[in-house]
Amino acid sequence: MCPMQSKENAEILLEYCARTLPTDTMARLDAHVAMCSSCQQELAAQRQLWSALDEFDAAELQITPDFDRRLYARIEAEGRDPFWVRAWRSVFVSGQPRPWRPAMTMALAGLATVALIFVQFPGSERTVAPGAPPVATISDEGATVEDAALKTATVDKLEIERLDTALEDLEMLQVLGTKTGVGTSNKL
Amino acid sequence: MSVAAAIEHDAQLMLRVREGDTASFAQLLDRHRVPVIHFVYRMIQNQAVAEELAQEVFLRVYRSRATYEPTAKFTTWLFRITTHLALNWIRDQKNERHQQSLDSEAPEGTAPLQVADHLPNVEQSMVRTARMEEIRRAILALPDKQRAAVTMHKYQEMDYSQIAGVLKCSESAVKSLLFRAYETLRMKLAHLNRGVSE
Ligand SMILES: [Zn+2]
Repeated sequence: MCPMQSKENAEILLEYCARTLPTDTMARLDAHVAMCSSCQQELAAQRQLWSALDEFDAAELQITPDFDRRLYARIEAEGRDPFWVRAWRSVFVSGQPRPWRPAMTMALAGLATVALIFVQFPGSERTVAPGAPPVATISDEGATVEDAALKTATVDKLEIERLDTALEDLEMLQVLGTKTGVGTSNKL
Repeated sequence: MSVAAAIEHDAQLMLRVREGDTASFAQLLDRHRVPVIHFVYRMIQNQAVAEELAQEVFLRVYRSRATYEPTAKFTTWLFRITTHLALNWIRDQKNERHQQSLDSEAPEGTAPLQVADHLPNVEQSMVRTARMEEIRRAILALPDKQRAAVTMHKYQEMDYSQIAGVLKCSESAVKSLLFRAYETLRMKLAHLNRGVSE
């Protein structure tokens, strides 16, 4: 039967043209194509397209010589990221449950929450205080310590912003990980 | 080296990178640098951006080392990252210049491939450049997924199952994508062949 009689079958001619079909199928089609003008036409058109596409030759592309150097510089720069960015990254990109990972996530989430509360209510430690002794201590020591706490909060805020950037970057990896089966076991 | 052995080799290298062996990462980079850059270049047709995105691809590969599991072929996984980044970039570009038509003018930010000038005369060189420009434009005008499928099929010589793995669709969907893409390209580029046979 002629493949050109339906679209589904015509698709087989692509594979025939690329010579990627099993040998027996190739042989059967060879015999058919030899006698069928519509198949011959289709194949000729596809072969012409194939050779036209060959002209779009990226082999002539000159890759810049410092490609690797730039890449390794970026890898090295990432290695110098603050520990929590790297830790967060490794938690997020993880494919395997490791005992310290949930703890690390909790700790980072805790740090972020405390810092956020500080930013929003810098003077009202008591709303923050339950179960958080260090904060309660700060409130007892008056304005100077409060200033220090504010400064810490500002630093924390900056760190949270960097964390956000890292998160945005990692969001895609997480999506990819879920698709590829990498990182599926480690959703927050 | 057989295909199966090559796949195995990549996965083994990646597992060694996971154990902290940076030399294995260098080997992976050596093996896949050119295919990744060429693939992105063909997808977006801008060399500087292609290299930038390729850097991002390898950076992500390196970052994922700790969690890498050889569940899929390494190249399928690699090209999934690559395709994702390329399609994202294309989407962002489209959002930025949504009013410009791809058909009416060359897209902003795309630089033609620099071709080594080894042709015998200027006229031949100009004809070749013009043909190449038409081919580039026809590929660029394909819908994103079709373009990705054609690039993988024609230039990366991937089979249907691997392309399906990268694009996360069925093999019959890949066949259909390719069929439509080649049909469109044939229509758009038919006059090039007439020019040749005359
Ligand atoms: Zn036929």
